[in-house]
Parts: sequence; structure tokens; C-alpha cells
Amino acid sequence: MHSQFRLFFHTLGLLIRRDVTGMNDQPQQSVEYVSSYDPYVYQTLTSIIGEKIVVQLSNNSVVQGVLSQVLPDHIVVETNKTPFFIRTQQIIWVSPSTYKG
Amino acid sequence: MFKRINKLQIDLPIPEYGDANAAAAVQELLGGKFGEMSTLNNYMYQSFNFRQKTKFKPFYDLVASITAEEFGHVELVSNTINILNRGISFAGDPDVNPLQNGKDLRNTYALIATAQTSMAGDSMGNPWRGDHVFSSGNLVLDLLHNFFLECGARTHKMRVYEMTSHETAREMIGYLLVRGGTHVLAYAKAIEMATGVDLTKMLPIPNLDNRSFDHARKFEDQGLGNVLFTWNDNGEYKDIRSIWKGENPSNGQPLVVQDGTPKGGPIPDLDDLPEEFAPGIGPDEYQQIAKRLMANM
Repeated sequence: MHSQFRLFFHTLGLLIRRDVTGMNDQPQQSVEYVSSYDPYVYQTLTSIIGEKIVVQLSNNSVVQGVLSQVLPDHIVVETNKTPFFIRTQQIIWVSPSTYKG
Repeated sequence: MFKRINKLQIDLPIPEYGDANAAAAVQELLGGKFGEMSTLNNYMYQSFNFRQKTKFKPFYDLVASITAEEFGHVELVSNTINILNRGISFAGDPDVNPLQNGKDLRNTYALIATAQTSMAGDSMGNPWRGDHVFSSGNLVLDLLHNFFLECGARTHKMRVYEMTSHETAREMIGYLLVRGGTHVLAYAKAIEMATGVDLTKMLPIPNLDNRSFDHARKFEDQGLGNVLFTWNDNGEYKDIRSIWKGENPSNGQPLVVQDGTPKGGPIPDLDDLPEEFAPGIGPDEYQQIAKRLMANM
């Protein structure tokens, strides 16, 4: 019999555990890490590096500041010289800041 | 009368992130039944209403001087709530709903009524009430009430400390746990002077030392648990010396009366919040206001 288990770690990405049949018909486990990736979010955010933005997060809070870096799984927003490393999966929306104060 | 010093009792840390629901919980320490508005108003009214102030001067001095300290505690907790209320909204036109996060927060008054600052109410939004004040005129009964009030206030602080890991809230609570513990002892000693009963034998309530709290330990190490301030620059309220003497039963160190106030820290400033129309003065209006203020000086 060949069985497959999938464990979802919602906050850490996706971890897949596969049970494969090895030597002597003993099951062996191999674990691989699969990170989720929003390619178009990543691409779009890359085009506004250096701009003042508002980021809405999934915990009902916002971060306002300058978008300083965009990486495949997180972005860096700087507020008063303090960097916030924000996981892309926790972003609900991003909007250019209209505030000129 | 009261003289105001433009300082907070401690230097509050101001991180760039907030926690609005923690601010809602901290409201209990401001406008709850056992909050700082209650300790302030209890001692304030008891000092106003005190009979035979001269005859029982050390007791009057105690209640009167701690009143001033409690006023500063109200100020400290309010400022903490203001610092915690950040990262909720963003500047933007009304039609993009810049206050949209507010509808899912515990304290909607903070969005609607106070422009993300403190309010004179508890953690459930109930207004602080005048019937939290106990001022019976019976000296021993009032002192016993104050002892109980400080113990209750200390318990609530411990629980709110356990609810939030935000640095500003913890620093404020750490400091107030130490000062609250000092006041518990002060009222216990006052009761001992008035009745001969040693209340310190039943201390502390609840049975958990300030040293169990990371943010309280620093203030304990500074000896703040052994000091009562007079909160006065003219040598008044000094007769608390005849109550505040001997050793602190929790650490064996001598109890000290210190003239005046602690050094304190700066009063935090708050950014403008255009989405709350606060303070609601644009650059052009500001120019005109400045012109009027500067004229005929």
C-alpha cells in the first residue's frame, strides 16, 4: 500500500510528509519544505520599492512607511528608521500612502 | 492647590508598534473600579474631607501626599494607552475607510470618541464612577479601605501584565506594581499606628512578589519600594515620617521619606491623525494661527 500524508502549517508555509516504501518493504519518511509564494504580489510590490505605502495586516492592524525591500516571502517596511519584516502571507492589501504630512 | 510638573513619573519606552486591544485592557488600570482614577479620587476626597487635620497630621499628610502621586499615575496610564493605540488606522480619504480596522477592535470609543487616546472608563468601556470613592470620615475605616483598594489595584495590574507583552504596558505596570506595593505597606503601617494591629503580617496580597515580574525588578532594585515622596517642594507633608519608618518587611531595607518628587521622564508627544481630524489644523490655518499668536507679544 502506498499512502501519503499532508500536514499543513498555516503559519509556516506548507510541509509535506511522504511515506514511501523503502527496502525490505519498511516505510521510510522523507520531509520536504514547500513555501507558498504569491508571484504576482511579489512582482507588483517590487515595482514600488522606495515608495510610502500602507500595509493592511490580517490581525486588524496597519503598518505605514517606506517599502525598502521585497523578497519572495516577506517585505520590509521602514517607519521612523525602524524596519518591520512582514510576511507576505499576512498581507491583506497594500496601498500607496496618500498622506503627505 | 496643585502645582503641575510637565513630566511623567518614569521614562516610558515608545516602540514603533502598538496593540490596540492591549490598550483596551489597560483601560481597566485607568478607569476601572480599582484603577488609578479610583485611587486618585479616593485619597483626594479623603484628604479634602479629613477631620482634625492638625491632630492627626501624619495620617492627613499620608493621604494628601499619595493623592499627588496618584494623579501622576493617572497621567502615566493614560500616556501608556495613547502609545499602545497606534498602527490601527492610516491617513486617507474618508471613502477608502481609513478607520476600517476600528470596527473589529475591542474599544470602538478609541476610534469614535477619543481619536485613539485614553478615556475615563474601564476595559469594558464603562465610564469611571464617583461611587468608586469611599470617604466615610472614620479614619481607621478609610485607611482599611485604602489598604484593600491598593491590594485590589495590585491584583488587577498583575493580571493585565499577564495579558500583554507590549513593552510600554509592561514597563508602566512594573513601575506601578512597585509603587502600589509601597502604598499597601504605607496604609498597613498607618493602620498599625492608629490601632496597634500589625497588618504587615498578612502582606502581600496576593501572595506574589514584585520580583516575579521582569519589569518590576528594575524598580525594586532602585529601592523605589522603600521610598515615600512628599510631592512638595516647601517641606510640607513631611510628617509621614512618623508612619513611614523602620524596615521594609519584604526586603529588610530602611524606609525612606524623600522630599519632592522622583526625577521622572519626558511626556510623550502624539503625531497628528488626519483620518481622525485630530488636531484638524492644516498648514495654511497653522500659518494664520501662528501669526495671531506671535502678534503683539
